[in-house]
Amino acid sequence: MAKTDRRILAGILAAALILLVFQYFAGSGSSELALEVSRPGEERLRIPISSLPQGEQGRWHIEGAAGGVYLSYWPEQGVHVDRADCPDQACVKTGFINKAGQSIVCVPNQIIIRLVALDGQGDRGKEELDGILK
Amino acid sequence: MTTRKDFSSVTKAYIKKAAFVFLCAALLSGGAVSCGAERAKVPSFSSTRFLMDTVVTIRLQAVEGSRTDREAAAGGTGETVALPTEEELEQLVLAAFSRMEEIAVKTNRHDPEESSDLQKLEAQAGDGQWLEVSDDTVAIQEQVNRLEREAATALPAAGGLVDTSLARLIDLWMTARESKVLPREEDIQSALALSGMDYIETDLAGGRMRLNLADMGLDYGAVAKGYAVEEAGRILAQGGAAVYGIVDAGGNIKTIGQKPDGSPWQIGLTDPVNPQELLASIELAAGQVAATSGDYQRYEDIEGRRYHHILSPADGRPVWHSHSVTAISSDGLKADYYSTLLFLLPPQDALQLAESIPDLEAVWVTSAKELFTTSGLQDRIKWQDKAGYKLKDW
Repeated sequence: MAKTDRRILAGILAAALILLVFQYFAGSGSSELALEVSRPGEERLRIPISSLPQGEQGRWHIEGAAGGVYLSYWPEQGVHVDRADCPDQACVKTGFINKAGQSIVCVPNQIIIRLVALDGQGDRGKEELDGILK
Repeated sequence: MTTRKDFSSVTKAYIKKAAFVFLCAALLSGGAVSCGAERAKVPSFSSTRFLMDTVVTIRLQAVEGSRTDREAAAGGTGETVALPTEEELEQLVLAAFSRMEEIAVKTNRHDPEESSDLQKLEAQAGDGQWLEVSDDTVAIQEQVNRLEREAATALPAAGGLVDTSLARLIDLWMTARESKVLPREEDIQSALALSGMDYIETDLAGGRMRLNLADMGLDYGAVAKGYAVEEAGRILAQGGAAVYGIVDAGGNIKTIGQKPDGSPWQIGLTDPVNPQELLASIELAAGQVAATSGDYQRYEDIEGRRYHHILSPADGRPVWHSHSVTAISSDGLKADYYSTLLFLLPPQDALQLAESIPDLEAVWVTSAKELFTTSGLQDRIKWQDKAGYKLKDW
């Protein structure tokens, strides 16, 4: 084995190790998030974030008092209101939310969108959920 | 000139090697840095609306395979599987919602204009007159009657437990929960006296119904959402094999088609004692519906006891056998019906009943915090490791 080959092999192994460690900690540190959609006085809905259509893959419309809002989910950045049927566009200006506890509120539409942690997800619960039975 | 060329080719070689190292490392570590952004755009449409006192979301996606097929077709194979456009998906979703809204309007007992089928039936209850109602209103009652006969044949104690004629009793308990004052026994008895499925008369062919007892009323709360979810699913299924998705109405979830990677649908089960957390995940097959009845969905704690919304016509009170029961069937109304029925029965009887009914599986979280399922579901459920619960083996 040439010296360069050995160096390349060592490099590969080192990089793989670093990536594995990174992946391990990134995975265990964050619990699965769910998006909670609610309107005052009505039942809430929780949707596992992993089941949302991602990026440009589709629009998601939420009906509201003033027509509604369009949401999108970008795995790297979070959840974001793209467009809203209301004059102030405050919810659009909120930008991305990506941590449990953060929320987007659209007052004219009376919609509250909140990220919540899905606790109680053990290691085996890490697989992606398609829905949550209330 | 020559030196420069050498330099640049050496640099290129190094860059190539570095890229190779990185790529191998990525593969070894399980693709953590897979080429990320280059995901094909597959049409999808999701929509959320507020109806039947709940938040309903419908998600519909095109199957990526249908795109490949279409591209292959463009290459001259001749076979074309059309990839639905986002607009086509949107139209299916909107049609499904219209259908659900139609059902919601007809079965609404609290319409301010008093113009729903159920309100009109109640208004002329006991006067002997037939009332023309929508096909849905008759169909729901007839399906409930059929399910009731099937259940009562398998287990006599199940007869009459899921009662659509409990409007008076439901109103009484709603007031009690709002005022936090328990109803008097005599009021419970008089509300029960104004109920009974025997007083409901249906005429499916004639599209009409009548209630043969004055002041009685119908409440489809135990089954209407299941029926609506099923009807929405029927419309979405018009997209055929080119689409897959989910109708998520909170306590009732229906799957549409198969996920493209072939994996089963995974649905989280809420921990009834700590509803912010999950207790298990259940696998659903294409077209299946899961429905949950739980004591944590609508309740009020009065005098140290939890008074929830699932009432027994036997004594006119909430039933405390289970914290939650989830029923799974290929039919939405059936799943919804059985989630209530199995909740109302003592768990042992309920299990015996569920095992004897075809196309029905169920999950129990009993008041004693015991967890068990029908035999057919044992390999399709993954329990979270939760303190305080006992997994029961049969």
